[in-house]
Amino acid sequence: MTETLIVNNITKTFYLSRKQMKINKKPGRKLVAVNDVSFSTYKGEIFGLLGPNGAGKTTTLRCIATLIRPDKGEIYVSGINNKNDVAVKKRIAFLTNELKLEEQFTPNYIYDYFSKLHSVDDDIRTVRKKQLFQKFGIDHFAEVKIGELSSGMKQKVSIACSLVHNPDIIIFDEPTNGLDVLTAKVVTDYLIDLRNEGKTIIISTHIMNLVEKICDRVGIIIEGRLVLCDQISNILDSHPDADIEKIFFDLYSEVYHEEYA
Amino acid sequence: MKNMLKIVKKELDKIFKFPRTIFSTIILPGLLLFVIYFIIGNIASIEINKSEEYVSSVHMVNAPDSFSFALEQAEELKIDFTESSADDIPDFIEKIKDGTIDALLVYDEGFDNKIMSHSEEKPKVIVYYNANETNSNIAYNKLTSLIDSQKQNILDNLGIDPNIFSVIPEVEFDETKIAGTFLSMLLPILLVSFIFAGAMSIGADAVAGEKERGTLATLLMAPLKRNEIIIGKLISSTIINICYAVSSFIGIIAALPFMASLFDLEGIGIAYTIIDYLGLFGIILLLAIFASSLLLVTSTIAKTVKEASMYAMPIYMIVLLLPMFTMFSEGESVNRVLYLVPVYNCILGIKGVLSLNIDLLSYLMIVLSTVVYVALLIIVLVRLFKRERILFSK
Repeated sequence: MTETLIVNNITKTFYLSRKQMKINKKPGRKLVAVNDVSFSTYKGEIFGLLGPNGAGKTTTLRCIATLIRPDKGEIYVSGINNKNDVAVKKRIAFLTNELKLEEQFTPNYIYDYFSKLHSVDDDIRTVRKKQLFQKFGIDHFAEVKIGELSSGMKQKVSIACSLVHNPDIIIFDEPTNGLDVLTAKVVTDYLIDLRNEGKTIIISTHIMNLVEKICDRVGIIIEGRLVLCDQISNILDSHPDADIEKIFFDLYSEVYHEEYA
Repeated sequence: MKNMLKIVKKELDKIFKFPRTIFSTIILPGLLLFVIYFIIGNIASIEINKSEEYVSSVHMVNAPDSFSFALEQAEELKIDFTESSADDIPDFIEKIKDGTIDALLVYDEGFDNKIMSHSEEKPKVIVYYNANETNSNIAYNKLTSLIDSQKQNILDNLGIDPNIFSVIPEVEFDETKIAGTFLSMLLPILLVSFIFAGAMSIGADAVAGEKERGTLATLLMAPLKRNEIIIGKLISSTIINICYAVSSFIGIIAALPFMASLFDLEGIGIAYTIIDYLGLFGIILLLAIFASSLLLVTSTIAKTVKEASMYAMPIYMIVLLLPMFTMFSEGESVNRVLYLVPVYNCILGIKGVLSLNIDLLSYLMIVLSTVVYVALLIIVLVRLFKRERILFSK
């Protein structure tokens, strides 16, 4: 198996504003969002990062995507240290609901714009755009302003635009969040197709069914710490009477000394 | 550089791809100024014509023979004289106050005799008028001019040469500078306000707007260096600001003929050379880059467009006040140190170029100091744009 991503003991601390401290309800200005997390991903797999809200999933993904830098530890994408952010961004795609597209432009314009930013050749761009637009049914609204599209349509355009450069690693933060069932199915089917093409997919989610259905390996992150990281099949084999959901809640109870059964 | 240009193109497309934004960014500022000055110029011209045609209503008490020449010129001077009695003076004063009549001329009794007999008591002439009424002021000016003529006639009759000495006004002026001086009072405030207003709206959206809409993080995922992104945004913001400024400049120049009567510019053209225009453009360009950099800094610090506008407003207010200090100052009297004060130096520069009243050293001081300020702002901007807490704060 070829390693595509190595996350090596990364730690990320945030300094909270007074407003954030009130929301966080914890003493001190420091919040250790990610605490000494390590894992690897491989070619042709879907890796699921599972955890409750505020566990550190998005921060970990943002560190991998080079949007933010870890305070400690190192990350390698296809062998490249992600301190070289420009080289890394050529090899990854990062998609989250927080990443939006300029609403006054059309999907056609935005796709071409991102292709140019990624220096994709015109011929390749045309072919790839045709494939992606057909796949997600964007052809029908390619010339409609993004601001006039539904959230599902916008999500499809976002996915297409994040894949303009045919990246090796595709990171999806909550890929089906806010989508209707039909669009969610199109997206999950596409993730499986990408895996079959040999891409590495990393998804963060708190939807247990999705993890069990499409992920090959899973990492469970709670309170910034990676408390479990293994093949789904291995995890299920070692807990014969439990599913991923039960295993997750048991781990959560261990961390918080609370009963969630 | 190539990546930067891709950002510039997209930012400009935001404006130039849509007729509505082209209209509001390029056409509207100039059109607005043209329409405003066209209307003001025409209204002023109508008012001036009206006042020239106006027949002043003047009452006279004890008008002496020496003033009779004025009655012969009454029609020409557009004055309607009425002889009245001294008993009616209080009534006429009230009428002047309420605007029914424009002025009252009261001579001492036996005015001419007192002069001819060299009486110890000097004779008086009192002119009553209402300083709050335009028509009354016009009447007062006409009357003082007539009284001056009357005085000259009396001196002549007394055998004293009224022209015992003469005052010959020798007005030394460069015709081309008159319009320039007028423009130098008006243009700096308009240009500065348009450049900063443009920078405020474009700048607030360029970073804070993108943060708020979540499009900045998408852009940050493109394989570009962060300084390429922010400098691309700075270049596009500057280009749009210059469009604002050029549009307003054209609007003012186009409206100039309509303002001619208002500012006594009739028949006077503006004779700027290509060097003057280049000099002016140089300062406008620097001011536009400075404004864009400064307001991009505030936009980068802010989390939302609203917050960015809030930070930018005090800057805008200060910047609007600065041209007021230069409005009536003369080029030669400017302390050279002021040519190093940001924004104020550009205003002085615009004023100096327009009034053809600036030397090369002063111009270079303006250009070099502004280049230094812009460089410092760009360094701050690039550093801020690399800080996670600034870019991703919530």
